[in-house]
Amino acid sequence: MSLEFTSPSRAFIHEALFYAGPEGFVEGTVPFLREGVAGGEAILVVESAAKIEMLRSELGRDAESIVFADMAEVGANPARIIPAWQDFVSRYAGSGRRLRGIGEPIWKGRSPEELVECQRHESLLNVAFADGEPWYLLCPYDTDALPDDVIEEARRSHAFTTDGKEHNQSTSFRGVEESGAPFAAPLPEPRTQVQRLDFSLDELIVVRALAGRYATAAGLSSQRAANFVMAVNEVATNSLHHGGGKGSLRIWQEAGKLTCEIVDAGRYDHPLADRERPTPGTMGPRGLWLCNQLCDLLQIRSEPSRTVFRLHMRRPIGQRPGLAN
Amino acid sequence: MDCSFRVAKVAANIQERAAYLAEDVVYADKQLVIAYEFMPAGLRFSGEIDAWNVDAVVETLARRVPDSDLHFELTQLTFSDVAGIRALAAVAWNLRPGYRLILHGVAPQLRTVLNLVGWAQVSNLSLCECEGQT
Repeated sequence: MSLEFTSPSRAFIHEALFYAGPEGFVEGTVPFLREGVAGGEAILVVESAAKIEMLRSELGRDAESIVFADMAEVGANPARIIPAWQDFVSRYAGSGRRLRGIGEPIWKGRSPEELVECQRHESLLNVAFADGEPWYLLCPYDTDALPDDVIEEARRSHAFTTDGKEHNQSTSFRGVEESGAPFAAPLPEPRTQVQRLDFSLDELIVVRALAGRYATAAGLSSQRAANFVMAVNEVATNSLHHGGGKGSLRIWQEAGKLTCEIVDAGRYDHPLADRERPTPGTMGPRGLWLCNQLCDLLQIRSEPSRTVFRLHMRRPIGQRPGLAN
Repeated sequence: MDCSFRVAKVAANIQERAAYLAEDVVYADKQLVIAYEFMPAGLRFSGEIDAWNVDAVVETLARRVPDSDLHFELTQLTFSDVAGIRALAAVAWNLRPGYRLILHGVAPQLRTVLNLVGWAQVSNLSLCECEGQT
């Protein structure tokens, strides 16, 4: 049996499922889903295509009322996952139906940058749904495939843990407030030549030219290159408005990716600013939200006297670092 | 670094256009020209909109609200940031009921942003299917 929504202080149940291998996955998730189906709950499962297939065949007709989504699409950039869950929750808000979901954002094969942003995402879920509708999110972690430190971090980012049978409060959970605290995990220094540019308002056009030149040299398609230029321009514009009117840019390419870093003197203290979807009908949107839709990854680090933004684009496989000059 | 070259090139092209269309120009700066289009009524944008000139663009577009459909020719608009795209979409919001703003030559990038932020669904904003340049 799953946890009950009995604790008055906890409207949102965020539980890590530690499983071992495909069999463990099925044993840990199928009863959870059947329980939701039996209760007439609205259910969304965001998993890999292979695991969705596994669940469908295991659940048979019980799968019919479950909505499945491919984590490789929804969560390619992990900052897009919270907006997807918010869509799910708000669709059923006030309907009287209970909600439950399964989301597995972390798997073996995530790049180091993606992994750390997925871990940040897991913490931010606690903030995003702290005061909203009650619902139950189960996050599977494969203990066979993932290193111990990833499992340990899952204990800190989830209030509850389970092995599929017993449910426990996580004694190392960092709490909701700490989950949204300024994030300053160190970023690795580039191990290649970088191009630098200090910019203010007059140099925005140069910022775009530089980003465009690197995007082309990195082999991005014209659409993805345009997305990258747009995102770099939005982050730079954010620095002009909120970061002291200027910023420092570094850009470099490595075998697998193109990266642009912008550092400014602003304070970034709204942890969900880059993942709140603009409300329809408003003049909205935040530039940083758009960056997450246009780029493969946006890393934000809040330090006491400065904010660091890194935008990443994966490069087409087989592309060697080319000359950008 | 060829960035200064590109900046100069953009400026040269813009000024050339501006000179040619001098009598029709409603706004011009080092990176953008907005000129009248008469048949059908509207404005033609050439160049780039960013934080450097977006306030001037907003002010220019707010100057008059026509009693008719309005056409924006965007084929030569090679870049606009989100604030610039918002400035264009806001014209549709401010039109009198029953009139539409039609965007022509919308580059794929602009189309992407309009769709992502939901402005493409604004009821009196239409995106013509004619090709924009990337």
